[in-house]
Amino acid sequence: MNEISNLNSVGKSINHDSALRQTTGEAKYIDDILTPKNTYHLALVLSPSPCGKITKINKDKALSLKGVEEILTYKDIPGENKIGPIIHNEPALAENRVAYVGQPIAVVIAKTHDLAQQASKLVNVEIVDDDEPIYDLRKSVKVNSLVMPKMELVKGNSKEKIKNSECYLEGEINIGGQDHFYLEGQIALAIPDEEKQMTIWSSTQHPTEVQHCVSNILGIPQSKVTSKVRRLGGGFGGKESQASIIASITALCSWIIQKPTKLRLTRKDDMLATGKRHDFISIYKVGFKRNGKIEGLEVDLLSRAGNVADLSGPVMTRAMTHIDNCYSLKDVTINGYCCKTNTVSNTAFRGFGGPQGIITIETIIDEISRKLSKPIDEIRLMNVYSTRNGLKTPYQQTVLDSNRYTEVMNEVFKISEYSKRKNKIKLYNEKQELKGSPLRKGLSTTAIKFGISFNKTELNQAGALVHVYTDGSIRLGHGGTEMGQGLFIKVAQVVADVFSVPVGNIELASTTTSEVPNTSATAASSGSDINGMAAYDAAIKIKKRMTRVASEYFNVPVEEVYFQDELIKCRNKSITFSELAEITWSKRVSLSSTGFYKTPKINWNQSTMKGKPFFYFTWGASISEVVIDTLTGECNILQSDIVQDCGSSLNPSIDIGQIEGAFIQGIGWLTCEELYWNSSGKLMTTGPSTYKIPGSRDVPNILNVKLLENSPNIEKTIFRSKAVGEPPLMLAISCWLAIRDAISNYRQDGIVNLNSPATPEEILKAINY
Amino acid sequence: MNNNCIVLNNKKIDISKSNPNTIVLDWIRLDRELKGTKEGCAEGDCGACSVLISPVSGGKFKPANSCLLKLGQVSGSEIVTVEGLGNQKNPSSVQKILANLGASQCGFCTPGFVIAITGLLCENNKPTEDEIHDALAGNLCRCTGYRPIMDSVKNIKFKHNFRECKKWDNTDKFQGKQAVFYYPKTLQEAYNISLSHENVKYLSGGTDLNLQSQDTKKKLNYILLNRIPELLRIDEGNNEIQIGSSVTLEETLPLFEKYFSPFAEILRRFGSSQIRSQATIAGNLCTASPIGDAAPSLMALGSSIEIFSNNQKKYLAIEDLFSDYRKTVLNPNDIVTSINIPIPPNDKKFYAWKVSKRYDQDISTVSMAALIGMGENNIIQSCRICFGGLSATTFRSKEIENSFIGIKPDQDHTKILEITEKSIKPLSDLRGSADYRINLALGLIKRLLFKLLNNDIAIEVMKVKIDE
Repeated sequence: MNEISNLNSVGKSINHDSALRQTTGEAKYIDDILTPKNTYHLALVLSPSPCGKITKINKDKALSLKGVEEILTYKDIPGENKIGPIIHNEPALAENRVAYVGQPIAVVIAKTHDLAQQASKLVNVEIVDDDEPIYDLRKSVKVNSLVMPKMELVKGNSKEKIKNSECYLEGEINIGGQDHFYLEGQIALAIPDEEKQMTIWSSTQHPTEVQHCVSNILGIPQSKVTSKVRRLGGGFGGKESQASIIASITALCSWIIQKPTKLRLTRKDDMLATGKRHDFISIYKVGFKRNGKIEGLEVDLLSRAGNVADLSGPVMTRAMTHIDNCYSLKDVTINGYCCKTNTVSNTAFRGFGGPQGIITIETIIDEISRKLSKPIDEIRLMNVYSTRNGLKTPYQQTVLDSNRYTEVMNEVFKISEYSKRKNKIKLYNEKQELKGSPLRKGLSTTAIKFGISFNKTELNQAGALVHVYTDGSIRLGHGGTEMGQGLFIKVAQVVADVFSVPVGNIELASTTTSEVPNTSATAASSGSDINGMAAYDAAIKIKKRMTRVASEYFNVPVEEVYFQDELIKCRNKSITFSELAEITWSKRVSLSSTGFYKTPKINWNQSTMKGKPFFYFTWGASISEVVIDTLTGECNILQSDIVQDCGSSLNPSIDIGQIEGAFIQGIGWLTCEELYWNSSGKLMTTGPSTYKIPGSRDVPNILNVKLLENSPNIEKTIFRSKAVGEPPLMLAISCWLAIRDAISNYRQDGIVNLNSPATPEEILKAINY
Repeated sequence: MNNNCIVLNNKKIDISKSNPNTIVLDWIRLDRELKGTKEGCAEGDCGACSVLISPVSGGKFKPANSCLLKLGQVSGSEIVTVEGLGNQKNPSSVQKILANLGASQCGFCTPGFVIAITGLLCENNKPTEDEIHDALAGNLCRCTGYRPIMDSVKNIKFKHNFRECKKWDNTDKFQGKQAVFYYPKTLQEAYNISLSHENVKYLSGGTDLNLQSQDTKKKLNYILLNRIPELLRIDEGNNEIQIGSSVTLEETLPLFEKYFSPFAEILRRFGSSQIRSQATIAGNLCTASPIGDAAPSLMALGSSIEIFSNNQKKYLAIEDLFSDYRKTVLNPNDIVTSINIPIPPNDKKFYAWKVSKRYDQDISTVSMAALIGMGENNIIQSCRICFGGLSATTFRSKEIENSFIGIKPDQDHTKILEITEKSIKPLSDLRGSADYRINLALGLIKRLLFKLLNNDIAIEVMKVKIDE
C-alpha cells in the first residue's frame, strides 16, 4: 500500500455518490427506468395451499380479460426449472406439487401492472391436500424432515465436562424470523435482444446468479445473458438469492413473447412469496464453575429452512461458528438442523445466522450471571478469548486480535458512564417499587465478534474493470452492487487515491455481468473488502503503465515519478493527469485494466466444520438502557452506546450509517417485528400495517456511536479497513439483554423466560411467567 | 362546466379524460411520468408515496399518501411532488441537508421523507424532537436508523416559501368512462344522488375505503362529502364541541388537545400526518372496526353523532351506532353530519390509552378510555369505561362500570378485575392472543387506578426520560 503517495479521500467522510440524486427523486430504480413502449407487465399466481397436488389450473377467466396476453406455468420453461444458490433444487414455478402458501405457480402476462394483478386473482388453481403440512421445528426434527443432513461441530468432550461441572443450566430460546422489508420490493425488467440474447435489469445483490439462473431457465449459454443493476432500494440479504427467482420468471415471459416484460411484486406478494430471516429454536445445556467459567456446552440449533435449502446450510454454518461469540469454549457440541417445513424457503438476512448464534450464547451468559448472582460482565471476562482462556475457536481458527474485546468494551463503558448509570437504575427501580409504579428499568452490555469472509472459500473473490479515457476521466466498474450501503463511493475513494484525483472524477458504472463476470454476491459484509481490493488491483496496473510512460516522457527513472493532486510529478517537472492519459494513449499503451482479488489465508472443510473460514474478525460493544411497563409489557429504549471496530475506516460517515442502520434493524428483529402465520400456514403479516419495522420514535432517545480509534486491521485489507455491514446488527442484543434485566429487576427471582421478538405481549408473558 | 383539473407542481393539468378511480400515485408515475414518488406498500404505511396537497378549504400544503387517494378525490386541488421542490442543480434546503448529512442510503424512502419534512416545516419551523417524530411517523426508512434524518430536520434552515393555497376548484362531478365521482354542495343534493343511483358510495378521506376496494377499483362510483361546506365546520360550544364529519383528523387535533388531550395523543399515534390530513373521525366510526381508535374515547366521553336522513336530522349515541363486527345501524343513504362531544365537567377526569406493538402508526391490540368522576374522600362516584380490541364492537359494560362506583382507587380492586375478566372474551390474532388482551384490559384498569391516585406521575414508558 505504500505506493499511495498522497491520501486524498480514503478515510474521509464523503457523501454517498447518489445522495443528492436520491433526495431530489432523480435517482432511477428499476421501476423508474424508461421502458420500451411495448413492455408487458407480469403478476404471479401464488399457491393458496401449504401442501398438496396441483390437479388443475383454470386460466380461462383470467385470459378472457382484455389485455391479458398469456399465462405461463412451468411447462413453458424451455430450460431447467431449477433455481437455488447452492443446491439447485428450487423450482421457479411449482410443478406438480405446492409446498407453501405463497409459492409461485403461474405468471400472468398483461398490458398493465394492474391488469396483471387483477388477472392473477382470477386464475383458479385446484389443489388436493393429500399430505399433512409441517410447521413445527421440533416435529421436523422428530420425523427427520430436513433440507440437508444434520450438521455437527464438536470440540473436546462436552458431555463429560457438563456432567462433572459444579453448576448446570438448561433451557431453550425461541428466536423469531424477520422480513427484510426493503422499501423497493423485488423487481426485474427483461429485454430480449437479437441472437437469442437477453438483457435483464434486476434489483439483485447477485447479478451473476441472476445471469446463471436466467441462462438456466431459458436453456441458453451464460454468454447470451447480460445482468445489470445500478442500485437497489435496499437488499439486506433479501435480494441475494431471491431476486434470481423473480428475474428468471421475468426473463421466461420475455423469452416466450419476445417482448420486454417487467415483474414488480406488490408488497403483499413479496412478503408471501420470498424468504426471510430464519427463525430458530436454540436448546442448550451448559456446565460451568461457580466463578462463571463455562466448562462444557451443548446446543441444538433448529432453523426454519422452509420448503427447500436455498441458503439455509450456510446460514446454519454461520450460526454454529458464531455460538462462541467472544468466548473461548473448550468442550462444545453444536448440532444444526435445517428443518424442512411447509413455509417459504428462508434465506440470507444481514448477519446470516450470526445473530441467532450470538443471541444464544449471550442469553446463556446472562442466565449464568443470574444463576450465580454475578454481574454479566464478570461472567464474560471469565470466558472471553485471551491467552489465559485460550484463543482457538471451536472450529480451530485462532483469534489473533482478542485484545480488541477489551478495547471496545472499555471504550463503551467509558462513553456510557456505565457504572454510574447502573447505580442510578437501581435507585430508580427501588423508587418505583415504593410508589407502586409498574415501571422498571434495565441495563445491559453486549460484545460482538463477527467473522469476515464467506464461509464457502470459493466465494471470496472479486473482479473490477477500470478505464482511463484520454481526457483523464475514469470509469469504474466492479462486481459489487450498490444497495444504499455506500459501496460505490468507498471503492471510488480507493481508485481516486491510487490516481491522486478527486473522487468526483470517477464515473460509477452500473454493475454489469458483461463488464465484470463471475462475481460473488454483495453479501457477508464483504463488499468493500473484496471489490475495493479488485478495483485497487486494476487501478494500480494502469498506474504502473502510466508511470512508465511518464518516466520516459520526463526521462527519469520510474522510481522518481509520483502522482499527487491530479498531477504527475518528478523533480521539478509535472504534467496533469489528463495530459498523461493522452500521452499514454499516443504511446499505444493500454489505459484499461481488469482487477482481481481473492481473500488470502482462508480454508474451510464443511464436513468436519474445521478450518480458518474467516480472514479476520470485527469487534463491537454496546450498552443499552430500557424501561418497561410491567402491566402492559410496553418498552422504551432510552439509551444505547455503541463502539465498533472498523479498522481504519475508509469513510467514517458511511460506516456510522451502516452501524446505526444495522443496529436499528437489530432492534426491529428483537422487539417489534413479528411474523405471524395462521393455523393453515398463511402468513398474515404481509404489509407494514401488520408487520411493524421500527419507526423514528423507536430509535433509542440517546444514541451514541463511536468508531474504535487507532485500530488498523491486523490483516492486509484495503487500507487496513474492516467490514461493517452486518456486525452492528447484533449489537442490538444489548437491548434484548436490557429488557431481560428489566424483567428480572421486577421479578427479583432470577427467572427470565423471554422469547424474541420481545413484543409487549412477550414481555408481559415473561413478567407473569 | 369547467373541466376537472389538478395543479401539479405549479402546472395545471386537465384530468377529465382519466378514470376518477385512478390511484393518484399511479397517475403521477405512469401518466405524468414523474418517477420520484415511489410505491413502497400501497397501504399508506411506509410513506414512500407521499406528496404535498392543498387542503379542501385552502391554506398550507399538507403531506398525504398518494397511494390511498383517488384522482376523483383530489380534482381541483394542488399537488406538489418531490420534483416540484427542487432538482440536483437547484435543490431545496431539505433535499440538500438530507444529502449532506447521510440521511439517504438506498434512497427509495427519501422522496417521501423530503415531502413529510417539508410539510412539517411549512407549519412549524422550530419543531421539537417529539413533533419531528410525530411528523415522520408515517415514513419508514429501513437503512439509516433515522438518526441522520432527525439531525437534518433539527439543523435545517428552512427557506421554502409556499404561498397559501386557495380553495379547491369545484365542479359538479367527474364523469369518467367507467365511473363517476359526484361533488354535491349540499346535504340534500348528496342524499338525492345516493337515493337515485345504485352502486354509489359516500367518500371523504378514503384512507380506509380505498384500501378495501383495491381489487375492484376501476368501476366504483362515489359521492364526495368533503366539498359540502356544512360538513367542514367546527363548533366550539361551552359544553360541547361539534366536529363536521368531513373535518380531517389533523384539523380536529388542536381542539382535542385543549379538551381531552389523551384522545389527541391516541389520534396522533393512530394515523401519521399523511393519514390525518385526509382521514376523518366519521370515517373511522363508520368502518365500525372493533379496533378503531376513535370509538372508545368518544363513547367514554358520551358523544353522539348527528345524521342527515332525507332532510331530517337524527341523533344517535355512539354506543348505539355499532350493530355487529364492522356493521353500523345506519341506512346506506344516511349521512353522518357531525360528531358531538361533550366537554367533561371539571369534576370528571378523562383518560385514554392504547397498546400496540409499535408506538406510532399501529393498530391497537387493546385500547381503553375512561371518564371518571371523583367524589369526596377520593371515592369514585361515576365511571364510563370503554374498550377497543376486546370484542366484535367497541366494548362497554355497565357491570364493570358499576364495580368502580363507591371505591377508593387505593382500595382492594380485585372485584373490578374479576368482573372485567369474566365479562370479556377476546379473540386471538396477529395483534395479540386472547390471554394477552385480557391481561392488557386488566393492566390498563390497574394503570387507571394508579393514575387516579398519582395524576402527576408519567406512567407511560414513552414519557420516561433517561435522567429520572
